[in-house]
Amino acid sequence: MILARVIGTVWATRKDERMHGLKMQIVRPVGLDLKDKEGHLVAVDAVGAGVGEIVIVVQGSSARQTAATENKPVDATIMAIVDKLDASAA
Amino acid sequence: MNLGRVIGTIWATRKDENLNGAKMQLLQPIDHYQQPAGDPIVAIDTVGAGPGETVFYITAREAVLPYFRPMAPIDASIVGIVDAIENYS
Repeated sequence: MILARVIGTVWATRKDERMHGLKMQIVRPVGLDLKDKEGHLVAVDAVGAGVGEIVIVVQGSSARQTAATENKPVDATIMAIVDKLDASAA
Repeated sequence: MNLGRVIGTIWATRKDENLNGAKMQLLQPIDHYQQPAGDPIVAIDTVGAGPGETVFYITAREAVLPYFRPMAPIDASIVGIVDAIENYS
């Protein structure tokens, strides 16, 4: 999984019918200091994250292993919202 | 499998319900000389590794296998704590 920040939302009307009802967010990977890194990806939101929140994103076929995304064409899912992070052993 | 070092812990109250009870650790991937290799990741810990310990971990769909539930959104799991690494070259 990777750490990322929610930076936007995607709306799409025409899409695979199995994706109806799913919320898609744009997330940008962040480092341990929670500062933005390069790039972004579109991830299905399984936990109701808001813009600006630090989240954990699961990728690949594991992204389908939530109740919201099971058997759906999804390869990135927001599956947790970070409360606190301790990287003191880095 | 890959080598990594546990560098911290993450707390998340709001998460997928199948992750309740999961311990999430911050993991710095390392090479066989124990030097950092790539960006840190978040991994589920099923072996009780502590900060600073060298571990090996698995990624992708099979990362859910050591977890106590059959279905959970997990793409990286710590599966062992490394005692020693011997390099022959």
